[in-house]
Amino acid sequence: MSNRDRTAELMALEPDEATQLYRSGRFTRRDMAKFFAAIGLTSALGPTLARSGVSAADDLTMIIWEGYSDEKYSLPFEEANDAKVDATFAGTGDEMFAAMQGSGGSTYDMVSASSDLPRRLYDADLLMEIDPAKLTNYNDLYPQFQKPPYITFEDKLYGVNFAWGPTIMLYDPEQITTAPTSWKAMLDEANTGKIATWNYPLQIAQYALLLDPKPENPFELTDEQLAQVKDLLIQQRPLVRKYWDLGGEVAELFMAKEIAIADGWPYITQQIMAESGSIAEVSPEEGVTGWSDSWCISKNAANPELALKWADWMIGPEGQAGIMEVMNYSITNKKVIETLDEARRAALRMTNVEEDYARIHMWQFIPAYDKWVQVWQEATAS
Amino acid sequence: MNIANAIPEPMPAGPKGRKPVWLTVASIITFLFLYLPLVVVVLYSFSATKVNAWPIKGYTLDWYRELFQDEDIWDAVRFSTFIGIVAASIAVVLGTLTAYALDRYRFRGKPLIRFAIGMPIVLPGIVTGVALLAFFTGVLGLNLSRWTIIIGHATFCTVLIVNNVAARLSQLPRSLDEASADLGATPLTTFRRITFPLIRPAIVAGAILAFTLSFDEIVVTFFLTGREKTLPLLIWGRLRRGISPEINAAATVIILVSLVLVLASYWFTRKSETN
Amino acid sequence: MAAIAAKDEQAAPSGRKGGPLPLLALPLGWMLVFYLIPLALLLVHAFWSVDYLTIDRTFTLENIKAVFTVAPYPAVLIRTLLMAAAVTLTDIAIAFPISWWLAKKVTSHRELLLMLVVFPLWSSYLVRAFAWKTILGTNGILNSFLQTTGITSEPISAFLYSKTGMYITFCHVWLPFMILPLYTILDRLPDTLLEASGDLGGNGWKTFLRVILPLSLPGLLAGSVSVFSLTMGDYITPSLIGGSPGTELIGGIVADQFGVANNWPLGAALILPILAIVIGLLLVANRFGALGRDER
Repeated sequence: MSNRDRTAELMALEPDEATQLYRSGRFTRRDMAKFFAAIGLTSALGPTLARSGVSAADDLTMIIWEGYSDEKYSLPFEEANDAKVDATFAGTGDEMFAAMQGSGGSTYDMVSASSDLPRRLYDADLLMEIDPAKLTNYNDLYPQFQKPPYITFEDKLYGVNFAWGPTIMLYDPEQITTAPTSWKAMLDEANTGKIATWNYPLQIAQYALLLDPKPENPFELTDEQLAQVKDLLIQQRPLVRKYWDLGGEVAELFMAKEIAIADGWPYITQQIMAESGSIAEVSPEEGVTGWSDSWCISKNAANPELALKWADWMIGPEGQAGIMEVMNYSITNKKVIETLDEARRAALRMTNVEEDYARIHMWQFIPAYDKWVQVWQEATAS
Repeated sequence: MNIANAIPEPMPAGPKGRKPVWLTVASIITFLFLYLPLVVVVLYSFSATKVNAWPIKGYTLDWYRELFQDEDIWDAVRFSTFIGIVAASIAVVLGTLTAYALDRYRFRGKPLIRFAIGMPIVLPGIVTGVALLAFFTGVLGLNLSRWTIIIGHATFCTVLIVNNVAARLSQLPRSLDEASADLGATPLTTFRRITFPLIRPAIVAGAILAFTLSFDEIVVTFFLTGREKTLPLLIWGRLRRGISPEINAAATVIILVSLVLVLASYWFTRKSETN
Repeated sequence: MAAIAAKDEQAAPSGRKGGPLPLLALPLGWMLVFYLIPLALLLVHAFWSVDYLTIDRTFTLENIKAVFTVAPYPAVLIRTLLMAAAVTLTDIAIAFPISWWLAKKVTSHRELLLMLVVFPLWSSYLVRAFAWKTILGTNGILNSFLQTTGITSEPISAFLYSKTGMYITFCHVWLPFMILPLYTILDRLPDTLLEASGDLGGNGWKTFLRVILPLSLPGLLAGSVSVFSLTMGDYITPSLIGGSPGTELIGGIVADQFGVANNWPLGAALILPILAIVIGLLLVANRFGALGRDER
């Protein structure tokens, strides 16, 4: 940096040298003025220079759900494309949205958006349209994942649907000996100080499943139903040990025996089992909420072609195998699913993809979302 | 840690050298309180198990091996070093100019200038962070980048240089300046020949502290970061995930580096004082 | 700012010609462009609102009103103030003995000891906060210690992911900010003064209350402003050590308005009370000379 060099140069001068320079007219007041002007100019130009893009073209930045950049499938991709995948894990879709909008879509090339998020990203004019013809694996997807409504706006495609799954209940059988069957276990005083729940306003839908009568669609709540859920959440607050942000955090909480029960994803179970921790999964009787995740590309992506390649890779055989193995999630590539045996399909909750998918209350865009945020803040702060 | 032990009691008004035992004990306990977390991090960096439970079962160097092979960490170290050097350099220029003006000129509004320069470090970091975020992206429509981080860091580092240099300047006898002026030197010559060499160690000491502060900063950086991550941001991302024992190893390395830098700064300050 | 700097009352005795403006132009310009203007613009945001995804720039007092009336903001603000006050008072209590010891009792290696006190300040704050997570856990060092010494029989889970945990962590991470100014001021107290108080029959307590405490007020206030302000604005410790990362303290709510909820105007409005309180404290501290001598 010129600043540093000049400062160093100034520092290196001995007084006598400086005087000589000054006397000989080589070091004048004007020179000093120039020196400081140069520094000022550099500082002023900095942000402008930054606009021209500092990232290398082969660097793919993404803000994603934890695990979606696992080395298992990112390393072969990096080698094949001479690229570098640089992922940031987000705790919620809201965090992904704020990160995308806060930077005008320049910081992250891609986002692993769940079914509730693309609508917001599209409305904020942050998404790039995707041409299915450029995806070699596109036609292998189940028809229902090719152009689903949550990534299709004005009949144009804005995402590549690559994985889906439920938010289930996890518990530690060493601490809770009778298997819980209902989400009510997450509000049970017997579990005081042993509960962790996901820190995400969208989780209101999960607790809405406990309302009586049960709302037909837990994502379309009336103000009255929202108030009822708020009461449940306020009642739950003193029982909760930790509102968790990232899946790894839940895994750690279980393994350190800080908690005994939590809501979470199959990926968390996978992580704990990999470390031979004590964990069990329950799909509660009230039903579950879940997500369907798509790769969306930023309108201002530094390298949209590379981003498309990644999306294509992730719906291809290697990417899909990785999602099943590393994440323990259900996938969208019909050809790949058909190669699996019955047991594997059952374990990954996709014996019959259409039916299994329809059983989950999939996250959806919520128009009056600020109300949900308000309720969530009030409950967790109480 | 028993905090109750450290509640102040009457100060005996005795001559220096009379050391009440409780005072020494309280001070030692305070030192333990200050250093316990650092010791814990260093200890766990050698722990063989992934979960940080006590007592430590078995020791290993695996996390250090993992750390030294972790390219992301080294990329972040390089990036943080770059940010620190540039931000500290800008702060040196801004801070030295301010300190010199404050010390050598008489004018109204000095407290206000001191206040303005010190604000970024006195007000919570989050204020600086979100104010610059809103300014750069919301108002100016710029993309976040390494330059936005550098501007943020230079802004809160300047006060360190001002304090260090001003402290040194106030120790210098004015007679030096006057003698130089009497001999016909312009203020600039006086600065070049007399003042600057005398305050140089103070500038270096301040610059090292500014670098250290920048290198460790997260609260402001969090809001200003673009595509590249600084080391604290990378560590933050991993800490949020929970299980990441290599972070203990990284933290140990950071502690050691900080210690070296602080010692260096201390050495320069002493040099400045004995000069 | 520039106008103030330009007011060159009189040339310094050393016969300096011209004012400090050429020197101050760059630093003050920088602070103006990269700090004061952004800060002012941020505060302007507080009077705007969010309409779905975009910022509506029509003047409104809704956000300001919300800060003081809509749950949970007032409650969290009060909780944050209480936490900041508790941490500040505790740090004063911890800092006094060691500062006194360093300033008045230590005869050798004083500079080294002082550096040891300051060093944690320069070692990563993130790392120190994280370390407390390890110490305070159910199976952590503190519980292990309490159980082996027989003080408790069961592990106490309330140390971690709780306000207690945040309180302990804050007290630790900000402690050097209290010790430093306190030491500086105590170091300057002449020993003769203390002896005089003793000679006049003042016992230890009297000397402490009537002489030492009033005289160390500037240091205490300087440290208190730092500790209070840092606690008010922090969101890292609540996230690592608190139970509810986003809503334990006001700093977390503010950070979430920018990093999660994407409601900048509300975030800016929530910053207003933080700014008002910290600047208020600064002005009080300034009255007692805590911000350095006024050398006009």
